[in-house]
Amino acid sequence: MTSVLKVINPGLYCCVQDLGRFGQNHLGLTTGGCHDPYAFKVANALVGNPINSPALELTLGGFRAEVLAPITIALTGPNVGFTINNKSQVLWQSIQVARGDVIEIATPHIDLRHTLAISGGIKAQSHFTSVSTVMREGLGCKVEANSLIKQQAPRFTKQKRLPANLIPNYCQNSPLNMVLALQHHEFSTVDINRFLSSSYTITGQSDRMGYRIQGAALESPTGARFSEGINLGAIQVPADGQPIVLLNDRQTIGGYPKLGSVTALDCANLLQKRAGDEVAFNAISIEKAQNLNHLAQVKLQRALDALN
Amino acid sequence: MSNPSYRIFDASENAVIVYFSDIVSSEQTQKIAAFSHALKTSLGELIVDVTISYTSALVTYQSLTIDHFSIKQKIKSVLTQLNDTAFLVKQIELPAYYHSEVGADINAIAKAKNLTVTDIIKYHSEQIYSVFAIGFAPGFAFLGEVNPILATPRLATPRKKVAKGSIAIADRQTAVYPAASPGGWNLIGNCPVSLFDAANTPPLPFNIGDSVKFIPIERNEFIRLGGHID
Repeated sequence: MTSVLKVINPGLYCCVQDLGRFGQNHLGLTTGGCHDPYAFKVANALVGNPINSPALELTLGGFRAEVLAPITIALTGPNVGFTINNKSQVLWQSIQVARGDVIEIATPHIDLRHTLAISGGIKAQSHFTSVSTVMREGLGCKVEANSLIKQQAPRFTKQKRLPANLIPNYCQNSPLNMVLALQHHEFSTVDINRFLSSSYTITGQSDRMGYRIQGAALESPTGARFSEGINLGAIQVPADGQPIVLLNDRQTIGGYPKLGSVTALDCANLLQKRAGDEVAFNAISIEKAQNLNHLAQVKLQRALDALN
Repeated sequence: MSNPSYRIFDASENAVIVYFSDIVSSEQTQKIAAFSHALKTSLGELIVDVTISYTSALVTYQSLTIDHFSIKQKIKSVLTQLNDTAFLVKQIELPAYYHSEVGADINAIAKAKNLTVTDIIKYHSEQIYSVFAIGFAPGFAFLGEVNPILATPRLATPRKKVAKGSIAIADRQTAVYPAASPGGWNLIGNCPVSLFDAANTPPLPFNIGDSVKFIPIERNEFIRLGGHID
């Protein structure tokens, strides 16, 4: 297959992702997968791909690549300096690029992550039904300087642009929705209220596996417990009382008590935050969380329809 | 299950966790494995993933297709129909070279317990272990239970690197490190057979609920099977 991009600078961390590696937990393999399914699916739709086509996830921008063959690209995520041959470009739209063009994505000021899709999808080795990159498990592909990005199949698409009202608002800093679940009944009411009324600072020990946050310490329920499966967003509280929110690349099982779970929608928002940022949590019912998922699905469908 | 001892809790807006009895046993592990199998078979596309471990099964479901009340009803119905007929399990044998040159802690354990290395080999290899959980790393299987005579707490400071294939003990659990990784378990030997290989189908020789027996081998056999001594 044709190489379509030569990466000059991958930035802090650039990897290939799809929607995730599902149904493989029994082997000890985690889900992985794109940080923000909405941004990921829309990026693919913009370049005319099936929505689960492999695309690049960029962390903290700083990306520069030379185009080796004519393709269509689309960048989604929070606003960031984005140029082709030094000419400013808009996110959330498809752009035709030609051989010799230079794509450059600056370092974002506030948010962390972007999705870069190319027409035809990126050719990547699939392991256990997915191309998702999970470095700890040695699966997937981390993009380095001089990496050549290959296209899965040639594909051409007309110019598309997502209507502005369907572009997420990344600037808002509302509390992260979570549901009280799992072992929440083992925590004291005082501690649950403390958790919900405090703001926590994201520490430097935060990555796609989990975000460690620092603030009001919680009393972690003691007592022997067996390791159990860990779901996306689980908020575990180790003995030091400082919560850890487990994310896409989390380990499959673990033994710390958990007071609940950040909703999948807000895990995507959390993954845009960086060390030093503050977060707060808002407890919602499971019914409300499921309703929000349905609304998000409607919004996604509107976006896909608009781009079809 | 005439006398249901399980409890179901929400884990998130798209996952529930089912706890079986609090006692870990190979029978229970087999029952949980059978439950996971039955769930995937009868609920099909509604189930995204099932993560089973020791006493529980975390079930991730398609929350856009089914709400949390209905999925719990369906899970209860699968639990009720789960009969007591034994789930088909297999026993696999793993070659084990027990020696201080590949098991840095075997002499210390022997000394602490007033045993000989030969005793340790006997106690560790005569037991049939059940695969209670797989996790921590791809293919890392938590096997139990070790003869209480050999139970040894985790190291106070984990090693930065444990060699691939290392056979280790932590409390009453034993395991084989499927790849080189950091680790805090006590090393007693090495298994030259690759346990997790992404290129193999299946990538792992066992499932949760299966049983494992270690077969002691000599140094030359270990080398012949592809074992390395660093």
